[in-house]
Amino acid sequence: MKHLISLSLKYIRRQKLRTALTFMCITLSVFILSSFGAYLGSIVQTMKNSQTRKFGSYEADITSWIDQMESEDQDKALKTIANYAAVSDYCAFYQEKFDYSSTNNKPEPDGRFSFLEFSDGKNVERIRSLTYDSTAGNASLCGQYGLYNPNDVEYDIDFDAGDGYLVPGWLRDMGYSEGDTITFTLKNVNAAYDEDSEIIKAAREENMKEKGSSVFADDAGYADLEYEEKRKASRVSLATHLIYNKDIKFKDIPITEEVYGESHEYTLKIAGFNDSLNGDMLIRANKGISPMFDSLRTDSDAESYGIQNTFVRINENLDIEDGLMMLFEDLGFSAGDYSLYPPSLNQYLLLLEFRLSSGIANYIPILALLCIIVLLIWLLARFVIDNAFEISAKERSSQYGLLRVLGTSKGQTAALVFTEAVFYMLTAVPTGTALAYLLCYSSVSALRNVGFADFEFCIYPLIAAISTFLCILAIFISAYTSAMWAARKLSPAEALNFGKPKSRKKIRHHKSKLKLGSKRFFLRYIGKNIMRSKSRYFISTITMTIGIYLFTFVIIIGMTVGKEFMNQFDSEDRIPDFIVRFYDNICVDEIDSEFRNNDLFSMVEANGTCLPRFDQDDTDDTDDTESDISKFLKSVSFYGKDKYQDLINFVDVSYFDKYLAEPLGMTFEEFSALDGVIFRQSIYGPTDENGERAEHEEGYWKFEESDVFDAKMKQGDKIKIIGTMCDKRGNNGFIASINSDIAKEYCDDVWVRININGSENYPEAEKMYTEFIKKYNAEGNSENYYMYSTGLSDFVKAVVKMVLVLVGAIWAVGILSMVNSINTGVLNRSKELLMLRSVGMTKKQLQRTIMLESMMFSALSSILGILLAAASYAAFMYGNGEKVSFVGVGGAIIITALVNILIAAAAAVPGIRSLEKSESLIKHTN
Amino acid sequence: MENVIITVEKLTKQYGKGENALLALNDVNFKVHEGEFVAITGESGSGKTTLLNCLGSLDRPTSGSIIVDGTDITVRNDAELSAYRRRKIGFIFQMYNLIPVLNVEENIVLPLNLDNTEPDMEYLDELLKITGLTQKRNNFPHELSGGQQQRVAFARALIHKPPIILADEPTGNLDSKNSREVISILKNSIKKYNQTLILITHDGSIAAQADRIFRITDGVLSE
Repeated sequence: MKHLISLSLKYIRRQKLRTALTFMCITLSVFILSSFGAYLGSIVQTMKNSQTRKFGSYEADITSWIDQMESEDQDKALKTIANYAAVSDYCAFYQEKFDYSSTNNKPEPDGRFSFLEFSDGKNVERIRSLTYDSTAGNASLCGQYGLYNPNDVEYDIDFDAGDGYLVPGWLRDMGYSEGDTITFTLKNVNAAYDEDSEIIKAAREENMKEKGSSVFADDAGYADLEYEEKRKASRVSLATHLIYNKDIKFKDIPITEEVYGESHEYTLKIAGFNDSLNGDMLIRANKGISPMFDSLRTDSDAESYGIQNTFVRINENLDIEDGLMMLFEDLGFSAGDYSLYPPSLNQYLLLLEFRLSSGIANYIPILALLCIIVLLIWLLARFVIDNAFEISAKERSSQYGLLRVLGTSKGQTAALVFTEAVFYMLTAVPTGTALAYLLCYSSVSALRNVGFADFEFCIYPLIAAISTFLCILAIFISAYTSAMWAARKLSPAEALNFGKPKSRKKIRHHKSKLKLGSKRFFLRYIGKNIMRSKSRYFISTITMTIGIYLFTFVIIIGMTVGKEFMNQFDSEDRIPDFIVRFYDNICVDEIDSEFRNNDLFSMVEANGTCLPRFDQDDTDDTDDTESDISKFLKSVSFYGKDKYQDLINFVDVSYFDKYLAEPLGMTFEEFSALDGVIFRQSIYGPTDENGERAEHEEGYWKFEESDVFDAKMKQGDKIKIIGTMCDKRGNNGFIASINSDIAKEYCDDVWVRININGSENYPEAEKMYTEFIKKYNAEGNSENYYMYSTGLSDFVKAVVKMVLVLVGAIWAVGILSMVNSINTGVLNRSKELLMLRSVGMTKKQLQRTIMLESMMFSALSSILGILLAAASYAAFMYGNGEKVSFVGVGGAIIITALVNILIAAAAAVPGIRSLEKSESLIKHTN
Repeated sequence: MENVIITVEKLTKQYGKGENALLALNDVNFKVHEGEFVAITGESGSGKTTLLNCLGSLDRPTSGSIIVDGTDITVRNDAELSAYRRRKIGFIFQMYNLIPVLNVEENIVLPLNLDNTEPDMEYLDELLKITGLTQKRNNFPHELSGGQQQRVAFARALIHKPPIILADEPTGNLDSKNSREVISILKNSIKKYNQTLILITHDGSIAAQADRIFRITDGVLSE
């Protein structure tokens, strides 16, 4: 046996070309199969990460159980859960809220409002909203979208290290520090606004002046106002207006006619401070699920609630349902009541953790699809490996025959083939698997690095084991069939004579074609060889067809749909990565110093708006003549004054350089220095009766000094109109520079669009953005759209690269399979081919014959693959309601076909070279 | 038998180099006239096949010259040698070497097809008759016995009436009856068409029928 193994290994060592081709075929097949396993594992982990981030890592929500208990029993239950062996982790979260802002938005306002008065004996504070959050256990079990997410606010302290409460930062202003114990009272207060106070009077007067009404939404009689009057009245309460528009502290709002409720006293130890907003009181603790302000509910006007959530994770050695049932009973419930209070399971996560046997039925369609895909990939891999082994075995058929003649048994002959299988199992399987996991790791890491933090490379032992097993199974099944052929089906005599069993098929005899010139003879000879070899080339033709099909399909899709999709990311109107929005402080200088000309950012575009409310009435203040703005707009606007926008757009240098520099013919600095606004209208005029739109000349017309006029605004201010301009983007409104004095005076709503200069800069850019919006109080209105913009673009590019690599691998497998078949065909026919040389065939004729044969097969594969790809593309486009067009991709299709055919032609070269290397022709003829 | 058709001068063939060098042919000199039947004998490994292969341009000698019909074939290029093999030589191997996808007739006319020459159908029929393959003309090689295949090889070597026929143990795989028959075919052909036959054989009775017998021993030729 040892000699047979040695013989097998000698063959492997000495037939380098054969071994290399077979090794590459098998490695690539294993690579494809293992890639599926590698990506599946990482996808499962990524989905788990995403699920955990959004919805938490808990397995069961047992809130309904705790809700059935009395308050004191709830604490006991929590202790039980915390120490329960079947529970590996838990989180209990309690929230109590007293919300006066909802209460004060009454359907029938009465001019009064309520709040809580806080007092520590020295200081007094008014509270519009009191929230008490308390957690016990591991808060990270709750996800981003979970109710009452305890992870929402940054904690300043480590609760595990000590005892205490996180209290509002305004207590620090009152002189309290960490470690202090505070005793305070809370009482409900209902009061009216002090109408005699300057603050209240000023607010009402201002509103009257601005809008024509002094009424606010919480005033008595607001609900009964007529529609027109209601339009003029403020839609927010006076308190809200004073807090948010006038920066008045809630406690400083003048009140009168206070009605006080009972005083409730509380004592707590300060562990740290949080950033409660003006009028809010937020207290956080890790005291479990006991309420703190229960007593307040009896006489508070506020809308209040107290709610708890309890989540658990069951020990992974236990079945989920068994563990929960045990816990249910040990919490004091009867087993029969379990169905009345079923826990809410985190099904999706449990399924991803392979812990939910009962939920699998819901996912059978997906599992079935997965199995089909795995089966198809496995069959493809098996075809290729089978082909490689079959070629190798048949090439050595005469050797097998000789060994049988010399006395080797059938089993021993089969063992020869299996030895080779073991060799490839030990070499190609680890190589292919390692390449697959390496590719997966690099691509998943690339996605993670562009900001998709949920992506994680993960090797699931079960999935890895299954894919490795499938690879080995494919190799051994292929080896088995070849071994059985070598050992049983091929008789020694057949092997020594012809190398294959005599066919049972009836042989058809045709009339000979004798009168042929050499050209026609070659073509006929090639045709006959192709028909003779069709069974050998069948598998390689199929695999090459599949490879070309997938590759061509991906290329076509990429060039059409993909290109269109990616163009969105290059367009100027795409979603920016960051949007920063200011309402009061426009922070243009700060934007410029932090973001503009910073290499981290490729675009910073700021624009602001102002609604100037020009006095457009037909009569001027001083006389009965038409107002200047009205006259002006009638004279210049293509639509007349009725269709212009009462809006000033303030633009920055980015926007100016892109769209305004040319029509205005000035620099941004000159634009910023202008003392006035320019009327900007579109070059496109109204549509005439023939449906055609007039187009006007693009340009800028600065007024002579005598023509510059002040446009009066309703508030009394005046803005200079200094000229008109016309361009394609004109919106029939006014423009000025965001850096101008006018902007400083009037601009009150600024949008800044920022794009990052490459995803590799995202971490640093994101940090800058976050710190900026926090510093300049723009958090509430700013958005990070990176994941929908640059991040998504890079994500798509990364995915495309992965797909191209995988598809390229499948294509390479097909090509290799064909190369293998071609070279074996050449080597097997070396005697025949060199005999032809001996009767006068030239070298060139021999080369052409072999190349033409290989090109025929590859041309067939190319045509089939390309037709399939074109049909799939047409079906895809038609299915999406798109027009099917091959314009632009025809070139790619032709190039793909030619490349594949040329590769196949080149594939015959090694075989031809090995024939030519012979010193003499006689080596192969005798 | 007047004209010299083959002149071999100082022909040497060495395989390998240095210590591993093997001298298959050592300074071989001879002439063969048109129409002669020359038998080459010698022990295994003596250089007989090497000599025949050099004469058929299947192998290049290390030194020396082979002048066939006034042309030194040792200095010709591949295209010229291919043409030489197509037109001047009919080679018969010990192992038949037929094309499996071509039937008997097509195998026989192969040299003519390669040379763009129309086959002489009458002569083809004659060859088929002589070789006893008329009924098998449409059969494929794997449908024939060894003897029949060798006859096909014979016919292939004769179809284009080459001036020189080189046969390397053509009867090596045949029984005595077949051997006598194929030798008879050869002799009749060379007589009829004034062809030169150089044949390697271990069979003394065949060698005895030759006009000349060359003996090669360790690469040295003697007559």
